[in-house]
Amino acid sequence: MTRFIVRRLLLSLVTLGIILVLITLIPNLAPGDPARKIAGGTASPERLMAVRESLGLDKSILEQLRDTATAVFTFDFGESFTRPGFSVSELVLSALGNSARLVAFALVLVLPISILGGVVAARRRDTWLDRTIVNTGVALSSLPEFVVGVLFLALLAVPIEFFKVIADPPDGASVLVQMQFLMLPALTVLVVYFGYIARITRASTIENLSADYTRTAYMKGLSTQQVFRKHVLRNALVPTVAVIGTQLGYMFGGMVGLELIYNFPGLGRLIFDAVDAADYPLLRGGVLTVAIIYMVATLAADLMIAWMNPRARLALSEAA
Amino acid sequence: MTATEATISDARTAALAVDNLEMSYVVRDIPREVLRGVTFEVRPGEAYGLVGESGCGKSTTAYAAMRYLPENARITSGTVYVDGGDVTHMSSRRLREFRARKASMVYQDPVQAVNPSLKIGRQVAESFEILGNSAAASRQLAREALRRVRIADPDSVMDRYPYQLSGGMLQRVVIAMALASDPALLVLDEPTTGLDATVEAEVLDLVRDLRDEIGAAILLIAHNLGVIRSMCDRVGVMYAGRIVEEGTVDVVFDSPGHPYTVGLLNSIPRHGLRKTDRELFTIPGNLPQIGDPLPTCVYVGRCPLATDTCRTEIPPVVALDEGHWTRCHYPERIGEIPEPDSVSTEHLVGESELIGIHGVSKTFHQRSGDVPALVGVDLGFSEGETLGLVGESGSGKSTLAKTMLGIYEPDEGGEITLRGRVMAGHTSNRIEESIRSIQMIFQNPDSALNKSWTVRRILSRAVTKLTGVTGSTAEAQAIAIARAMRLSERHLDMRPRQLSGGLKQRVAIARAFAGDPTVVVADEPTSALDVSVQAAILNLLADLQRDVRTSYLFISHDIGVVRYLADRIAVMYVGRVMELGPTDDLFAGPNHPYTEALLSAVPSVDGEAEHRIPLTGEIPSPKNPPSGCVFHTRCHRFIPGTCDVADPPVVEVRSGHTIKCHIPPEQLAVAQAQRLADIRGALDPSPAVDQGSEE
Amino acid sequence: MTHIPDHVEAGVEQPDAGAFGPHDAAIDEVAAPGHTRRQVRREQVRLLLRSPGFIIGCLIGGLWIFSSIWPEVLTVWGSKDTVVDASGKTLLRVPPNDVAWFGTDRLARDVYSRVIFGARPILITAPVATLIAVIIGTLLGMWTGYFRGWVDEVLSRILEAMLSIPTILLAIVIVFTFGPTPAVIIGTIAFLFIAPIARTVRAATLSESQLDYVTAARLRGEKSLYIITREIFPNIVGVVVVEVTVRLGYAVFTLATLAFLGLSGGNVTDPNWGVDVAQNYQQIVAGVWWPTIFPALAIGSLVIGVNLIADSIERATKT
Repeated sequence: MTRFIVRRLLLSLVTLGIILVLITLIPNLAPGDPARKIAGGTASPERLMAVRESLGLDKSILEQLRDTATAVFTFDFGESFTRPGFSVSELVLSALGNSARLVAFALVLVLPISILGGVVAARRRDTWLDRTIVNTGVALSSLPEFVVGVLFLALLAVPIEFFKVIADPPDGASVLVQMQFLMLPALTVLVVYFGYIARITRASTIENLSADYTRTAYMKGLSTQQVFRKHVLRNALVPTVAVIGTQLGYMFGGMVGLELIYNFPGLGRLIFDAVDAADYPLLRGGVLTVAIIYMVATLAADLMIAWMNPRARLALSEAA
Repeated sequence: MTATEATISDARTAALAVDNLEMSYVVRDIPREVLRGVTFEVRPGEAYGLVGESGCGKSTTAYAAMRYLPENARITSGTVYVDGGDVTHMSSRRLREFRARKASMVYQDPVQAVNPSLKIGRQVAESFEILGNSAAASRQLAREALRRVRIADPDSVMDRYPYQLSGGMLQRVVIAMALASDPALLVLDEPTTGLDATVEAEVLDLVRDLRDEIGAAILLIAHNLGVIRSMCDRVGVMYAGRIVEEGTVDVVFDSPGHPYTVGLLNSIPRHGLRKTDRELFTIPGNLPQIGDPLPTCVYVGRCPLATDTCRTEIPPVVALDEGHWTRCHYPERIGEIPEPDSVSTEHLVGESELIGIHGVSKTFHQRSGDVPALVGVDLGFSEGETLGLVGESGSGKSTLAKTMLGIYEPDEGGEITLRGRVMAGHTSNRIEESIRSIQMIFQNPDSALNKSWTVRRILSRAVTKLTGVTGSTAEAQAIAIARAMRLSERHLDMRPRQLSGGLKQRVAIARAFAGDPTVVVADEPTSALDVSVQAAILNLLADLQRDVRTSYLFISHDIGVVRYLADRIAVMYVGRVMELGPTDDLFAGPNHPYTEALLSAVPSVDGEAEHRIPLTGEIPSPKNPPSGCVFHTRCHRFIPGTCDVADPPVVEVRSGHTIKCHIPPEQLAVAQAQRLADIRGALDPSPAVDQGSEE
Repeated sequence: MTHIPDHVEAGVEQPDAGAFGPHDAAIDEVAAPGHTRRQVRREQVRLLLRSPGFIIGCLIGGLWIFSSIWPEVLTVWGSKDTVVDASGKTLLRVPPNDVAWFGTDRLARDVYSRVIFGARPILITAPVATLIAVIIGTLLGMWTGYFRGWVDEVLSRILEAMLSIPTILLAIVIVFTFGPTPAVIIGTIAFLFIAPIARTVRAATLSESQLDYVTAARLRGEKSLYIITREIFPNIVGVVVVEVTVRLGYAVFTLATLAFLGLSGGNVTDPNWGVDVAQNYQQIVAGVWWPTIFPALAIGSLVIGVNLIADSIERATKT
């Protein structure tokens, strides 16, 4: 088991390494002069030199790589260009905190509803209920989150006082108040992810319901409830856990549209603004943070799967 | 004493009574009949076998006894009684009670039958918890249950997960779970299909031994007639959803009363039949599909005795002997069924060596370590000869075949020769002649043919690639080959999906023969086929050999089939050849201890006394071969100090017959003859004593 | 058809049939004559044509394809024209009425026209990007799935790295680096989609390669290229088709989002659903919902339509 964890960690580091390389290469690959883009057309040569230095463009690629690597491990990416006075780490962590709150709240909504939906659809397979759940899920999941966000704005936020338009709770607000402010974004996340998670859960539950070991359980004389609870669930939820693990990274950094619509100071928005303003240090810090979150989330998911499904431990350790 | 239907004596006292059960599956809104009126009973303590080929409905009947039926199953009439209770009309709550206490089941694939993410202990204990025991008591009971199924160290097994146990071990666990409730009825659905021969024998022995202890009635479903004979008291032969014959195993298997039973029994090589004796009996036509309209006699389409009466009137149940009946219009004409043809041509085997395998080893390099799948294999065979390869999992027989074919390259030092010329290791390096000369037939006809290609294309391409001929000439040759395999023109434009297993295998054989090969490797070519289909394929292979003098490397786990087809046999164990010799010599003995044990493990259709040699322990994995002689960990003739230390030499028993053992052949001959004499002595009734009074 | 006695049915608790058996008995169709591949395909197509998802999807898709080709036929106003009413007064930010069916936006443009004209950009870029990605992804997937080896290992690592960052972020970074031109946008989407397509195709190729007919081909001395293209590919076509439709949905999704974020590859005034949403959503709180919601619904309908088609094809190829 420990060997498996070590292998997984090593693999994650390889992935991180690749991203590191890409991130370092970006300003070098950009057509035109990124330093000029930041400094402005009328900047003096000294200014340009200063900007280039802070970008690291005066150094060789290898040195830049080394710098980026150091930055990742010390979590110090320097100062942000667009918000001087603030270190990148500060900004990233602050945005991360916000995103974390939203993701946590969203998961509280998404997980029970989606898993329940998937399980119910599986057990009532091919009935109207099943078809409704699946088709609704498919339809809703295909919508970009900003489309859903905009619809919610118009349909819920404007007419109903309860739903706040700007998802920015005042500092020091209680948990309930925070939830109120985050309600719309969380509901948007629910709409977007419901179909996907419900479908995976449904498929896996169906597969496990028709498995041989389920038959054995029924033949022992267990009731459907017992079979489900004691045998099927722990196997059926494995793919769901895997999916959630991979999607967690997306939830942290990929919901840019949503964050813009609701004016939510999350990680995706931060990165987008950074790109927009060519704030490379901030961009670097943000993207690498997202990558780290993805790695941690998938590692946690894999560990959970290994705990849930012993045979997977064998498969994972060999595949890894 | 004839009637049109079988009857049950007393449903209330029978362990299992199936009364005229009719069932259909609804597929795409059309009901397809699968059981057309099945009636039989199993008395308490009795073992009843249901035997038949695919689609006959035997498994469906077994599941009906537990009333575990798919959603689209409809019981259209009839009743099933278990221990007096009407299972067919039970409420779901009562059904659960019934499954927990009255009846249990053992399944075909033990690996899939257990929950992979729960520990064994927990799963076995669950069977006891259902009966109302506390968790602690259940654990204790589980421990005892595992001991009862001969698991030596129950505590360590209980702490394991299924993936850590072998198939044989898992099947014992399933049996333990099934026996937890001390059921009135134990249903076994192909419990040993897929297990190695020695493991199968252990499991069957276990069930046999436990039978006396538990007093449950047994319903055994199997397609292997040997298993049925060795385990059951009575047997019902099923065909197309009907029982066509029923009686005690000895009577049905030695004096069958129904044409189908006759056909079935004659299509298996029995009593040591060889290909030089005669062909195998084949049943013309195909097995009926579920739902085919068969209003009168279900066998009428294929029966050699069929007349118009058979087509228009339902055959009556005719009693032949005490407890032995058949469903036929003409039971008296059973003797008219023609014997299969005897073989006309002499079977000539060439003198010089055609294929030589010299010192071939094959080691696979995996992340977790090296796996020596083959170690120092020396074999050879001549033109027109069939070399049979026998062995269990891990024996290396498939690896050997693939190395010979060039799919794998042998390790340094080993070489494979064709007519004396060394062949390159890998197919990509071989010359065309070598490639054309050696071809393969696979086990699974579904995966062996490209499902997107028509038969015509499959064969034409093979002809083109192997002989260099193109265009219409190639196609003409393809058609010729197809015809030689008894495929008709209309098959040519079909795709594999539309063909039955037997037909697919013929196409695969045709493809292998497209380039007029010198050697054909057949890797379990009939294992996936029904018995009656298997016979036709074996006849075909034998015919081809006679006509074209092809050599075969014939791999099979079925000893009877190997004995039929092979001229010489090699027995492999964990990558090494343990014994090699002409078929008759090998079966005459003396044998390597492993061969001895293997032969004793095969359940005999002919009712021969077995007395299996129990082999302790599991088959070792090639990754960790035992020291010295790889068989020493399980050998019943193990000599400490010798067998676990040194690799045994290859010793000649007779000219052409070698074994790899430390014990000299003369000693083995004596010991083995003694053992056989003991068995016969124990079973041979002295003339003055009536067997019945011994009971 | 025999009558099923009521008391038999009574014992079966529908639909909780799990207690009573597996979902459907697998009927072993040994030698099912008459089921030629063409007939199977025909039945699949028939099933497809009858499934409501497919029909709705095609209707939606058809509508938008028409809009992208002949927008003039469906509209009264041009996409950049200023809307005036009968008396010549400029209609600025008016809700839906007779003159402007979807209302007008802050520059007095007809929202309806902008929606119809806005179909073209996305219906050109999405299919093009998808096609490029599918071609390259399929080739890559088949190669790695068949040959495996170190190329496979390296590529898999890179693929996994690419998939660890949300597609949108990667897209943003790349587009910004190289400039938001249509070519860059299409190229970025194509590039980013190669990974998931290659992964799926690789898995399918891998499992086909394990089958015996591939071994049989090798034993005939067939060349690898032949095996991949003539033996394996026909058997994975279904997978590829499904991938095309699924990725198309994702492409529409991603392109719309990029447009929303300001990366549309066109002028700010050009009709583009994502851009229009971005420019107008802040007015929703002021009660002016129509310049945002209609383009948003257009995006939604197109994505749903494509996904319905993708879903029904996937389900049809599974039977």
